[in-house]
Amino acid sequence: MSTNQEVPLGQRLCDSPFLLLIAGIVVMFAFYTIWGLIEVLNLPQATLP
Amino acid sequence: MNSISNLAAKFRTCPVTGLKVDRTAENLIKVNAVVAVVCLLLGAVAALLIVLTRWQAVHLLPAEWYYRLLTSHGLNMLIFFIIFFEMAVLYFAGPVLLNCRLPAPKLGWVNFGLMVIGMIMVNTMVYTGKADVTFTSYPPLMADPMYYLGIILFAVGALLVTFQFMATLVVAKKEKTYEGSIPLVVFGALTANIIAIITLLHGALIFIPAFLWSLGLMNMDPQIYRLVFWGLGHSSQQINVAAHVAIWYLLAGLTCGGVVLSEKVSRAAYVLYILFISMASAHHLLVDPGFGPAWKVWNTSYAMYLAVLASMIHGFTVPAGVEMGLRLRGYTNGLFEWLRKAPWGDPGFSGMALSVVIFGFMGGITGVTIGTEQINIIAHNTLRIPGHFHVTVVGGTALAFMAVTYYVLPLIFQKRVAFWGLAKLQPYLFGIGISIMGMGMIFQGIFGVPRRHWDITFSGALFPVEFHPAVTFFQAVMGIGGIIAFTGALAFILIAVVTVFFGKTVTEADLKSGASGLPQGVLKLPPQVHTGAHVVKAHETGARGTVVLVGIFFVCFVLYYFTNWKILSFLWKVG
Ligand code: HEM
Repeated sequence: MSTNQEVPLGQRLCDSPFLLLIAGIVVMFAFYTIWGLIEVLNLPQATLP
Repeated sequence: MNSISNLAAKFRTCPVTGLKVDRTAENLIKVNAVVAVVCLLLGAVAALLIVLTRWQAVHLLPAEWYYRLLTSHGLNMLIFFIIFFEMAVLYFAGPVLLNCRLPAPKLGWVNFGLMVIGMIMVNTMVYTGKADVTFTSYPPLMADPMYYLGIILFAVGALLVTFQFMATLVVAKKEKTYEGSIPLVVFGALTANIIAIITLLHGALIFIPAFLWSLGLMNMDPQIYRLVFWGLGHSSQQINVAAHVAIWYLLAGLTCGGVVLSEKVSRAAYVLYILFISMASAHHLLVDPGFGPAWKVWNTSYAMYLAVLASMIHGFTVPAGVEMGLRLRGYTNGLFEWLRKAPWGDPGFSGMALSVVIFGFMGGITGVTIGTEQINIIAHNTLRIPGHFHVTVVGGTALAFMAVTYYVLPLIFQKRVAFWGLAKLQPYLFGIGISIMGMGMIFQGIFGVPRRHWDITFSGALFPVEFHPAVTFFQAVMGIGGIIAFTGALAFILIAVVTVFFGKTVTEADLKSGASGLPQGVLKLPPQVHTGAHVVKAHETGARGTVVLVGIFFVCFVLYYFTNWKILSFLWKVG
């Protein structure tokens, strides 16, 4: 068995703090913030009674 | 020669752990922790006064001061105490645990200065009555511009600390101060750090406009404010979760040699936090008319449940790691010998164990339930919400922070913990008190008692409003629990302040003789044995005790969850 085993993909991803940072920011902004803003901005104006 | 003395001036070697400790990082840990405790004191005094006001039989403060101190309590506890402490955690998990230097050390002081100035500005505005807006400051409530500026300065300081932490990771990797991947505890801190950046970006996006709005320079849409504010307000709770889970792992190892069952599983759970936990912010908007069900359900259920899964993984792996650590030390009999023989007299251990139980059982179960879109309608803005978050952020996070302090005092401040007898009791006092108060609040909420309400008798109102008579009982439960928790918080502050300013310095002789004021994890952690009959037995039985505990957890979860659907069905009878 070789001692120089390749580091598994999952571990390599976890070893990249900036990649994790970008992933965290993108998911949150895409699903919560931007989608939420689109919902609010597309609300039709309430008509006065 | 010169460079050796330079190095000695920059670092010291810890006699207990053998770690090389950067002195600036160490000083920053100290000052951040001290200011955190000052804020805890401000928040705790306000806590006592507001709980004695909400307890209608006492009804201590006039309305104006109830709201002022509610604002002060929310800010000093949730924002200042917690975030100053988290800054200390980042300086510890970065340079200290990675055995490296702190990059841009002077920046650390600038950041600290910004945060302290911000904290003082905000408190000044609150106590002079220029910001009676509660910590959420929802428009159209408007505070003095200096209030928003204070928050902005505080947030900028904290954001710079998170960048400094990322820079520490780069430096440690480049200078090869660790091998392979960063340790699990540091990975937990990295998770907290990433969530902190997400949180603070939302903070900037909402508080800079709020500042301009308070100066009359722009308009503010209350619905957009609520959306972006909760990207800050709730995500900041997720920094706490990631940070206190990292502390659980740390304390499990330090106090009783707990093992990590699977690095892969624990790290995967942290990645789920990074990706999905911040979206829980949408819980606060479940009854807001501005958002459709798809947005609400996706953010608070589908995606969010992946983060709940992560919490359940940690809720299993931490106690199971403790169980295996103790079984490997020979406590292999029956299901629970390890639990009975665990170091319950070590406040680091008892605080961590109570934090896991209170956060997991009470906080987790109530949180997932009220975070369900349909059930939220009967819980929203009732006392159930503060009931829930006092068993998560207080019984979970604050208690974990207190527990780790009993190790930070001897290891970082190098002082023996003062009032050691009281210190052993303190986590129980605080944990039990907050649980009782939380239960009192949750039950009142179930009977419809509102949160943030000065007078629930509605005296002078046009319509009489009456609550179920049981509410009077649960008010007393809340009041008594609150007083016990306040006593626990005060005991902690007393111990921490006396230790830091008047405590005896730890000496080699203290470590050898097992002097009082030093937790057993610092003194005489029994060595882990990897051979022998009990090791074979430990591997055969696995973490069976924890499996049983987790089974009990699921039964409670199912019961509470479905009882709430039943309560909901009473509200809208069909047929
Ligand atoms: C020392 C024990 C504590 C007691 C007795 C206590 C008591 C209370 C009470 C009575 C309320 C008011 C609920 C209402 O009227 O709606 C409250 C609100 C709150 N507490 Fe605590 N608390 C304690 C510790 C903490 C800690 C350590 C934190 C955070 C880390 C915290 C965070 C909050 C927050 C964020 C609010 C909501 C404020 C608002 O609605 O604007 N509390 N607490």
